[in-house]
Amino acid sequence: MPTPTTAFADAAAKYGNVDAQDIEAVQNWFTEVLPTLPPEVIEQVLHDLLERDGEIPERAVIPVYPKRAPLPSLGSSPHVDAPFFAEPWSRLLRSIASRLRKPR
Amino acid sequence: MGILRKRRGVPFARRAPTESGQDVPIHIAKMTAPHVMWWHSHVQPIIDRDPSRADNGWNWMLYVPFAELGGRVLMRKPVGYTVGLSDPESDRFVPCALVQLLGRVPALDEHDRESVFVWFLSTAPEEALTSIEDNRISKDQIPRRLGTIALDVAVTHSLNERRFGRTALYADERGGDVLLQWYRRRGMTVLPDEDKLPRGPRRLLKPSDGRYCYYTVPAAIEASKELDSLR
Repeated sequence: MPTPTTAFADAAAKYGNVDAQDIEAVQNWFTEVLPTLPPEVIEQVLHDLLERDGEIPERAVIPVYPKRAPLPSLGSSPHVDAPFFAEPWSRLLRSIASRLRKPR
Repeated sequence: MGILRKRRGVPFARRAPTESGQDVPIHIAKMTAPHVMWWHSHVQPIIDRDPSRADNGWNWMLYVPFAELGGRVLMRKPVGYTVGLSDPESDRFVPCALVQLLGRVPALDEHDRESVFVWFLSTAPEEALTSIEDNRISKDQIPRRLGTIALDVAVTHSLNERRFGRTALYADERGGDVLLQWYRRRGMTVLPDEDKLPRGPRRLLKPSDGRYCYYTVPAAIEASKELDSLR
């Protein structure tokens, strides 16, 4: 198994003085606070977490799930383009034709 | 075709097969916070009810920011992708699989070459897709082969980023032999446990134990070709 959530919680407690039982505070620390810390600290946190990779957690962390997060929108999730020449020729030609057809 | 694929890259999958026999359109998007938030709100609770799953207890809300940050500090070019069903009419995107990659790590078989490493990969159980309030997907429209498509995302990224298909991962212990066999069937090679990992923290902290798998360049190209009908 990957690094258990308890290892993340312990790292947030050790480096950020966060309550390891408060998983939302732990998530917040990793998202908001850790990016502002010096690279050496981030590297140390990574080291701590990798060290505990595969560990069977000695205590349970009660998961907290966000309530009713909305479905993401398609508009903000565009399909990732392949490199230009990776597309099949038929699709490339269609794409060139549609660009040429666009009014300037 | 193999040479062209290595040189030009390859498009991501755009369709997935279904039980109905008809393919459904899928989108491969860069992973964003709303994708992860929705996953942790709707999909992960269902995964967490099944202790037999390797991704039981995962917390993407922690993995994604950390993989991004840790990867950037170590210059590993982290990138996350979401495989999802697209519904242009309602402008909705339903995440069906998440893949977190490190885009630049030493290859397991040739340490002086660069490879992609799959850090986390998870697919939505059927129940998660048929139980979405106000956007139910019927059982026969559920995309199949999501694991294969998600793994193909990593190989496609590797081909398109000039890693020539080299892709590696660690098969979670909880998946047991079944998971290892699944990766073997996809054409991956298992690194023998006596072989050393490339230099780096993993060599010390998570050494080779017979569960690291990798694609050689020819095997990756073969695996990629197998999904051409879905691109």
